[in-house]
Amino acid sequence: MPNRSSSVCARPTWTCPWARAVYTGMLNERGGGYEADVTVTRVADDRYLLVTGSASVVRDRAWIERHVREVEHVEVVDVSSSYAVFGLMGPRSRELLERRTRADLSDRAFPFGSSQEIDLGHATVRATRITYVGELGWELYVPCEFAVGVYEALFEAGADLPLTDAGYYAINSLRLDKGYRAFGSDLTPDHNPVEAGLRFTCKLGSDLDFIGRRAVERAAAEGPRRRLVSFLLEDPDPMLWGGELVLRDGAPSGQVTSAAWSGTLGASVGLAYVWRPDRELLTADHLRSGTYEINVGGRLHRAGVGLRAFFDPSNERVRS
Amino acid sequence: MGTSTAYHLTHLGWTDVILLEQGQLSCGTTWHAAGLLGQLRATEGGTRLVQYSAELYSRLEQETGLATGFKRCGGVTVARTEDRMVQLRRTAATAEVYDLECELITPARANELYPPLAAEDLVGAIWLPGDGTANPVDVTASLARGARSRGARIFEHTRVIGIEHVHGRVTGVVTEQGPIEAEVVVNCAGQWAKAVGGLAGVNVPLHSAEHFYVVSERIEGVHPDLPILRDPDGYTYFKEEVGGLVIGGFEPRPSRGWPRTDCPIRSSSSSWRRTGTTSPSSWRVRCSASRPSTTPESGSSTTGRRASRPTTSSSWVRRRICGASLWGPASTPWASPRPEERAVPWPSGLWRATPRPTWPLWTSDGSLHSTGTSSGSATGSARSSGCTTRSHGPTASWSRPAPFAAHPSTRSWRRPELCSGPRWAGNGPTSSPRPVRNPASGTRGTSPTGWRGRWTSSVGPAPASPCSTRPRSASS
Repeated sequence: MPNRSSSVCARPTWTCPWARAVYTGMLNERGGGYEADVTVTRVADDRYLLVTGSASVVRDRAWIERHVREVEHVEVVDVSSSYAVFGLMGPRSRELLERRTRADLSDRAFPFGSSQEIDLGHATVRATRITYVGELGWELYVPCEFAVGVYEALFEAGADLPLTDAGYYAINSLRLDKGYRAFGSDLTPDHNPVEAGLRFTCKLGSDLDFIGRRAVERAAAEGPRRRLVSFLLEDPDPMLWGGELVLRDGAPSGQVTSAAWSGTLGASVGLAYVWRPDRELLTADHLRSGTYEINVGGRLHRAGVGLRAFFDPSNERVRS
Repeated sequence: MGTSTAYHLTHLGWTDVILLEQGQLSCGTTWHAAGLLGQLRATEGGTRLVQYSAELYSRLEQETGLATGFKRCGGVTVARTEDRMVQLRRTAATAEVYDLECELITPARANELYPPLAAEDLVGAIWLPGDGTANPVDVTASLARGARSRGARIFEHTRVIGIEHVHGRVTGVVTEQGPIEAEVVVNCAGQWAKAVGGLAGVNVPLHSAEHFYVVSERIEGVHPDLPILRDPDGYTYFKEEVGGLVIGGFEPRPSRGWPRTDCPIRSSSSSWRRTGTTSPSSWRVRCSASRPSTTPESGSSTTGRRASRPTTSSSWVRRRICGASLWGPASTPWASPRPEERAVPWPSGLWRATPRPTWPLWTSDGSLHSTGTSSGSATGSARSSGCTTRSHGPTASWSRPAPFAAHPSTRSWRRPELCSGPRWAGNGPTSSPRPVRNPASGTRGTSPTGWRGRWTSSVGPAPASPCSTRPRSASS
């Protein structure tokens, strides 16, 4: 969005080199809350590909169109129906993809966060090395007319690999292992990047004048009064859905926003906003010092709470 | 909605406010609303909004001189099954998040709070002392007077037949009596909102569905301060009215969408009979005069009470009423600009007045819904099924906001074998599929063994170890 006066996105997307997928948010002025949580890829000098949740397409488009001025000559085209997207994820995804493309997929030629058009079977697809499940992998943007062919080509090539379809419950569980946020539950117009632990997605260090910047600066200077944390239950049995009450040392102090049973960690895992009962500023020391419980259908279960993900917090698997 | 909008705009200092009503105020869906003010909603914003409504209705008479019928009578929600009790415990925990008073109670205590309750087969209940009721028609009249006194003009019997706009920006409306210039147009047309939006090329995916209630004769033990009773397992709610009860139902499978939008009132016993789930024999109230006086002990299970429950051919039902109830794809109220509107920055509605949403009400943002979403009569039945189930079903009030659920009508190509796995309804299962520990495996907590068989058969051959690619990492 080459809008020098006031950027819709909280990170400069036009100064990034070509073919780099930038994870950022679109914030409101009220409190710097999330209006959208997107990945922006610069696909040409004057063209960008925005990827958002499939439920938010209309909303995000309306948000952008209402915030560009007529002189800025910005056209937003909804291409959702033109592409099928396959997330090819897992430690052997490179090995599989290499069997059907001539592109160099090595970490040096295709680092994490980059995006390139590659040949795949009979199609040319946009491959973006990014993940929502915390593994090595590529999101493949395939023109719809090639989608079935590419899908079959991948399964043919991967016949000897443990390749399988995964549904949304699996993806949800894996992303929560990694503490990846979801717009709608963890990120909403009422939660700002400081509370959500996503300050890195806002370029406060630059002079980028993005919408909501003043609110985020205020929030960053003041510190959060609630904070999104990852949690992991000690008891493997309880099943969480989101919305559960969080107690710290027995006092109501938060609410679960997303949860799933984790096959990796062997218990329910999720994200929750926590706050102090007196709504004072929340420090990392305060967060670490309490004993946390989650009320699941009337029963209290001990939970470990952390600001970092419980699985692969250093992202070694993602960058392998 | 119209009078409330006019009332609040005038209070925010807007001086040139006109409210147009095609019939008479409250003739659409308002006359037929139950007037329940249940405070606990699925989101904190929704909860705060109902709390504000209660506070407003309790002081409106002082301001306007017209009573709203508001009573803070409390609410009892009962559970017939252990699964429902799980939901109520979750509901009670959610109330704690929002710092709302909510108490888990025994059937005996529920009976004490609600003497006509047939409590013998109940598992438990919750008590929400902050809940209340108001008379929707009186509220409308009171809001209208409040708006008028601050300069709003209200024209009844004035139908809108067109909306004027230039370059996506509204310039006025056309009524049967002539045009009116306007910088801002708020579409508060309720069940006609889709038609009014259509005048401007704006999609409003709302539809009306049939909603039934009956009004009973006087019932012993029913007094004006009787709490609201909700029986989600019976899909019914109960509210006091002139010594009797208003008994309304939200069926799990509603019969159909509202067939005609030009006819606001209908009363039909044949429609009533179709709704088996709300037949009087399933109601958890006693209607005869045989109840002994209320003591804490009397609520405990005793035999012989069932006989006094209403029967299908109950003669004490005074009126059966079927009216239109308004639903959208997400069963949330909406207050936002529609995404089609290009005008900047905020083309219409309450939010320009404030001038931004000052509350966390973003699940009421209509632009969450695709411009391609329809909610016409053809889809009404299936869609409102989801809505009523969301309102009264097992996950109501703790399920997450609905806009992010996959849209039922945007389903794409599916491999049939994938459909054989655990099928969870859009609103979640009626009971949590709690993982069951497999005593044979001995590997406590490495996988939800209760699911394993079903998962693996539906997604491919079982891997040697379900977590072989993801070593168990150190937890907290």
